[in-house]
Amino acid sequence: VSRIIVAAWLPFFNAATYRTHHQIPDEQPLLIATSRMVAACDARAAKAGVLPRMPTRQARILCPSAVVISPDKTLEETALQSRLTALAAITPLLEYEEMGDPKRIDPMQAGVFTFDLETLRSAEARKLAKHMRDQLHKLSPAYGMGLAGSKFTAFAAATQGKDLLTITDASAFLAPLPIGLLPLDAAWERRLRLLGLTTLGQFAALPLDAVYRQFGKRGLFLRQLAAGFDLRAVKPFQPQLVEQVCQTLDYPVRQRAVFDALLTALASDLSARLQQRGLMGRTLRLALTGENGKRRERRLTMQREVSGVVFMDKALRVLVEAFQPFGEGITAIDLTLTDLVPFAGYQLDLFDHRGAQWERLTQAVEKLSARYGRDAFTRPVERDRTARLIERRYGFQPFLMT
Amino acid sequence: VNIMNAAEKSRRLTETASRVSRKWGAGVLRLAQPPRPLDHPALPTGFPRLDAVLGVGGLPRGNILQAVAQGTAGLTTLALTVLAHAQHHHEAATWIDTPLTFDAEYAVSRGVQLDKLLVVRSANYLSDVLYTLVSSRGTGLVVCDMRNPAAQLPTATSWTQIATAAASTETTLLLLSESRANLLVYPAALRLQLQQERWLRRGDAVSGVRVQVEVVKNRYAPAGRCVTLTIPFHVRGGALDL
Repeated sequence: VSRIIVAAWLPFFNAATYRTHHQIPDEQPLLIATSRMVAACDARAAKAGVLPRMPTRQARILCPSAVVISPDKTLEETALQSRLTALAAITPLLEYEEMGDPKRIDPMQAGVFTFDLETLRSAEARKLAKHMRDQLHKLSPAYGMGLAGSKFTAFAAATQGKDLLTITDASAFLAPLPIGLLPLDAAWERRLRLLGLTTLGQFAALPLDAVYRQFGKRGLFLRQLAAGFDLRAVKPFQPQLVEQVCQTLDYPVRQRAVFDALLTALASDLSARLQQRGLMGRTLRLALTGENGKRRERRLTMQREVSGVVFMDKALRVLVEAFQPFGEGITAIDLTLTDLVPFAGYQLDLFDHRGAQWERLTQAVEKLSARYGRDAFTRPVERDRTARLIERRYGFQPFLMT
Repeated sequence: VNIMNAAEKSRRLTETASRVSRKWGAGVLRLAQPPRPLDHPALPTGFPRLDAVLGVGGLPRGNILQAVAQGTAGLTTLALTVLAHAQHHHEAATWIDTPLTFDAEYAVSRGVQLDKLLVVRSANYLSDVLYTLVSSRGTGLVVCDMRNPAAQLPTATSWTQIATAAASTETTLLLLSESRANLLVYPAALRLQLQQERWLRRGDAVSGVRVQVEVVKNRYAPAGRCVTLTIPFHVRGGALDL
């Protein structure tokens, strides 16, 4: 009994997320861009000639009526996590990936959801796929769905943009499709085209040894995909544990003291939530939004997981120092803690641990000093931290003096 | 015909082994055994991604480890970060500074506690210094900066003795060397190759460096893995992997 894989292909998926979040009307073109470069756009802007990684200035000229929104990684991640969590109710064997190689520009900017329905009966699988289609239709108005026996074939079927395309003969279906569907980078694709290989069928028809000689192991894998053999499993979705606190301010904050007090309050709130859930986290992300709507973000991974307000506050101070001066008021603060793990206690560093080990080290240094002199065995000491010459700030003194 | 019985053979072998051990140090002769699991948790490097790639959650204790790089590839920073973490885990640490370039101010900025650090500022007698320190159980981590071409480095036999001493005392010996020197220490359990990818800039200022670390040799997990690390310059203590 073969597997049943369903793939859903959602073009301009990122732009759809922003449109929903910011409630932008459907008829308004949308650009997700920094002041320099376009990160994503919607179908209307793409029709006007806008591409990802294009200079924002050029994109504005091509599509003057477009609404421009700053990229927000937190929003993207949060939205995706909530969608995956909702879809995982259908099956936990669920994967999301952005199309193709990250170095390549995908003009359709599609996101692909892949579901593994294992060995469900065909009629029931189709019924479930229709249910998924209804769920996904809410995320993006344009979509394509494919149902096949392997990941790559289901994905290729979904890219056809049909409502639900069921594939029974994978190799026959894949043969006329363009070779660009394979997970290739631009250099590979160019190389294949130069060899006159434009369709998956042509690539699949090449002898195995010739493919191996030209393209190595990776080539053999791609040839298998082109022929409709794909044994890759759909990785089960594991919800990411995240705790987040946000504060939108009524008026822009310009004073550092007020800002620090707000941060401490947020850290305290976050800490209370974590302790309530019995969790602690390691990676702290602070996003600040300025008066002009510009959002800046910094991330910090700590040495160990924390949940206490003191540690969190200390880490926040380090993060704030990492920002360049804003020169404007702050209107929103967004604090996220990820890499959460169950709470576990650890020994506090209350005592001097230079016990037996330190004594043994001293004895070893005594032996070595007797053989080679005391000057080589030193301990660095602070002399004058404010000295202008670096070499005067710290010095070395014989280790045994201490 | 004089045929020795098994008991006589065993006695002679024991005698020979004890003679060799007296001459070359205890532990140079060992019975062949399957690789032993790590008795103590590995020493974290301060870079979670690198720890994950190493397979045992950090640098394996009781081993000779070697990190090889050309200049400005973050080798000193990585070593100082490891040292700071060792001190954080209550280990006394030693830095052997053969090129006499130890920068105490930068060490402090990476979280190193100077009052718990021995700095050996010499390029001579390295073999004896390393063996004495490693076998004394007085230090949990010894970082040996060998980037001085004039340093009197231990011979191959001495490295074997030092490795044996490190294994019995659970002392970690981290060797820093330049890739130009092509100095490969055979008993090293782990060899890392660092290569700078690019400087990280914020405006005109250089704020850090992006480094690719390749695990060239690993006795505890598959070798050949790579990881890219971002090493910021401005961080003081605490947060190390941005």
